[in-house]
Amino acid sequence: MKREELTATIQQSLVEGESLIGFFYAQQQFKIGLWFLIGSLAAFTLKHYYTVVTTHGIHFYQMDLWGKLGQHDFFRYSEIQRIKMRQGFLRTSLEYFFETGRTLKLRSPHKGLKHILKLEESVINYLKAHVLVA
Amino acid sequence: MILFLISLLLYIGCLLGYKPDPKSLKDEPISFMENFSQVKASLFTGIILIITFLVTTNFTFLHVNQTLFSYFGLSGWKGLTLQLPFQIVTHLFIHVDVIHFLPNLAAIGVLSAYERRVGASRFLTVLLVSSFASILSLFFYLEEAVSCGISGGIFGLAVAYFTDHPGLTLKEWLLALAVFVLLVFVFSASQTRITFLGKIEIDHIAHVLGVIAAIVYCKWRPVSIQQNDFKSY
Repeated sequence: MKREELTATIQQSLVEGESLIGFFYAQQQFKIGLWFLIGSLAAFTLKHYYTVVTTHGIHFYQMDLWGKLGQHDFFRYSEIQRIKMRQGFLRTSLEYFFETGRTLKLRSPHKGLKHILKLEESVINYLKAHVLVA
Repeated sequence: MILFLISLLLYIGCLLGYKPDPKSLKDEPISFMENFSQVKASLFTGIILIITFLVTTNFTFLHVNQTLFSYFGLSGWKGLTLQLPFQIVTHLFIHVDVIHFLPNLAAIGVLSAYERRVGASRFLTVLLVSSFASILSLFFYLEEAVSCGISGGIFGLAVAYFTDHPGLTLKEWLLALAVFVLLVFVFSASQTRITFLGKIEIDHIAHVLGVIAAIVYCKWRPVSIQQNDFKSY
């Protein structure tokens, strides 16, 4: 999905009074145990997300095999306990700890080509201001 | 017998031990019983195959008994009349040796991912439709041949895993089919093996027929969005 098309889709899905801060691509790695079990087929368990940061909270849009937006989950900032952030050379690891007890570990690029939806510094600062980021 | 126990425990352990995260981030992690109900068809299919293989190999779990093989394997067409009608069903559960059997078992285990998505009844229907369609491959062989194994059904399940999604456009459907074909070329190289039963060839025509049957079935009876809306995959 192209950036403009994606932006339009995301803008349409926002509720009244909610404004967009930024969005970026994120990837959930497969479980390493699966690699030993099913080999290269484990790559099919990779999950791709678009993380959308708004004034109300964080939207997680999961992409399907064809790059279309599939499963959508929204968490208010009060529903996120903390975010564990580790910055690497090219990617930033973001581990979300939700109030429901579940965790979600995603990796997002902060460097790369122009067309890649990167994690911007302004989004990180906004997250730090609204959620406990460690 | 050791190989049998290892296969059985590994198969059950992997299917029940692996619990995928629920699709929605807001859902609670699935319980043991929920996990069991999501893979019950592939679990029992695998167990039936393991036990049948054990019995038909005289409890050695290595090579099929030659008498049982010729009795239960699909032993060709005699002027369009099947030699023994029950062979239509029994040949699906017969495997020549452990090298023939274990990849099929592993494939059913992996394709439990399809059952998690669409449910047990559709999983079994696609498996049966593809398996029975693959029988027609015997028409393509001039010489007398004995056919056995459930690989036609497995190929049908594999193509359904990629293409059986609700609301796919033609372009997306073709892309999914291309991914499947690529995987088939990677994982299913042509092989001829010599065993105690003689020359064994992979019945690629049966695989293709299984794939075609699964595609036709999935197009004829497309999966509904509600059916696809399982808690996890």
